[in-house]
Amino acid sequence: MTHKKNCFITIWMFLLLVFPGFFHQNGASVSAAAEKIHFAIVFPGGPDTGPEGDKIITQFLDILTRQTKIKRADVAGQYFNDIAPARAYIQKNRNCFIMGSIGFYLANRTTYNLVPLSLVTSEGKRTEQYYLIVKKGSYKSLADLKGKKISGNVLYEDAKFINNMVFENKINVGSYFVMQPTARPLSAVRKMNTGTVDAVLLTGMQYEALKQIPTTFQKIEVVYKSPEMPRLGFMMAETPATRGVKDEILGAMVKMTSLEEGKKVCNNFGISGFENIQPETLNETIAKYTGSN
Amino acid sequence: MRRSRNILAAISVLALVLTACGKSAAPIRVYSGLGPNWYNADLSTLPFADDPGAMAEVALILSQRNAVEGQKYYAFKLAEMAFARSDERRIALAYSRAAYLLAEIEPDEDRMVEIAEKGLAAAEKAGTANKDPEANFYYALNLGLVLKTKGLFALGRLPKLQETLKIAMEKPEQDMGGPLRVLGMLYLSAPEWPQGIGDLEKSLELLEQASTNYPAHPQNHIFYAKALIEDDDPESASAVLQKAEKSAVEEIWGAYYFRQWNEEIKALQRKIQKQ
Repeated sequence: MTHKKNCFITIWMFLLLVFPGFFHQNGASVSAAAEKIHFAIVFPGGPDTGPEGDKIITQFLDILTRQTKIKRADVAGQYFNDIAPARAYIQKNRNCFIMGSIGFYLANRTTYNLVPLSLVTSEGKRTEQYYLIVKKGSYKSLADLKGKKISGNVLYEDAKFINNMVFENKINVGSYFVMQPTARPLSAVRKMNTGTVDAVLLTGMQYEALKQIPTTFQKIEVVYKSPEMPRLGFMMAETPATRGVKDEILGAMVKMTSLEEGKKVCNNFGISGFENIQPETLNETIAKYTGSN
Repeated sequence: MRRSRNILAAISVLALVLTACGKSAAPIRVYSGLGPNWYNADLSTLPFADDPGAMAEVALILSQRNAVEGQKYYAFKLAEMAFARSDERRIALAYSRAAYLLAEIEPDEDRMVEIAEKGLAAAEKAGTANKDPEANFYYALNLGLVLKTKGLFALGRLPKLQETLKIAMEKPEQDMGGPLRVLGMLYLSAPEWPQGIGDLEKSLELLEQASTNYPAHPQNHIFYAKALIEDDDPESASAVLQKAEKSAVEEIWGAYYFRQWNEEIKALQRKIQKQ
């Protein structure tokens, strides 16, 4: 894996926003729970953090235990840039809150009894949409891109998610394209403009950010736009222990984004805040993913 | 009487322990009896102790990468004394440089931050606000050390680091391509677009210049190799690492950097083999 710090930052921003508020919650706390609570931060294709990542996790857990009555030994957390070890961690530590994408939720929902908790909101939007872009004039449609090389960090997501949700079952990306995932989407766009790759799959946030680089933006065009879908960011593996502390954590999340400092950090990354949801909100999305709608 | 002496001794020991545990810029080191007694030397007895300019000049001579830790500590204290007596630019620069070189090898994180923060203050005094390229370079080096310890909370200060390094770039030759090397590495390791200032292409461009124009500094090659690996070009990275290996010799850079850089080179070579 290479450095994919953009994703990494979002993860740590999540941590900053979510947990300091949680530390100050009154009433029942994690320390009251009989079992240890775990936090898995899952960013497929994220950076190899090495000691830096360990340090930040330790930093985070230290703050957690220092500012509350929570004992250091009651909480554990780990960051994953690969889905397989993340799944193994959750399998082993079922009392787990997870920061991850809608793709991770859909792919692992039944296995780990995942419950969606919060959407990430950005500039008033609570949905995600993906854009397949090409160099202007090079390809006109999705059909033209068959057998061509596509890049972007979205390609690290679960393949079924990309097929069913991003491309609405129209294609099987694994056989339709030559996939070249990268953690550096801007590099991918530049490579597309020099002809090294044919198309790049961008998130909505990346596409909007590209507009801020007019010299690059004017050279590209969109050949395919995915339907909008909920921008899930936070979920839990449901157990009595996670259920017991869920409301506390969610309350803290929303509260944090209303605080001046939390808001500032969020805005730096184009995120307005978190919006708690009921699990039923995603019923339609689940049906689409499973193909039962 | 004997009992009260014991109590006093216990209090003394306790005080010593507390001092050692507290935050102090002065590293707690014990003189081994061999070589110069860097840590306990009385600087006030030096014949030029009342001449800040001379003290800063000596500090600069002693502030070398290949110097042993004690020498760096001595240089830092000398520069600190000079800086306390004069805010002249060259003295502030000498202090900032000495602070950086000492902080970089300081294993205790709290002490490292404390020393680097002194280096920051000195660089500010030397003229960061006046867009002085040297002051901004030392400011960036010291700031980089501080930010390494801040984790998530460092992110908001990365644009400031970028800004100071851009000013330092007006004098790219300082520290053998230092501004190119450090700014190139910042673009490589900072959060990637669209959230951050990370930019692989900019990184490659700057680090190639550093490696080509200032080949004597091993870190120019090491950082360039890192960027090439990131750019999925292991063959070029391997060639650049060979240059790094040949230039990272103990005779020039001293034991500390010889060991550190060679470990980095070997780790990168292993990474290339895995690719």
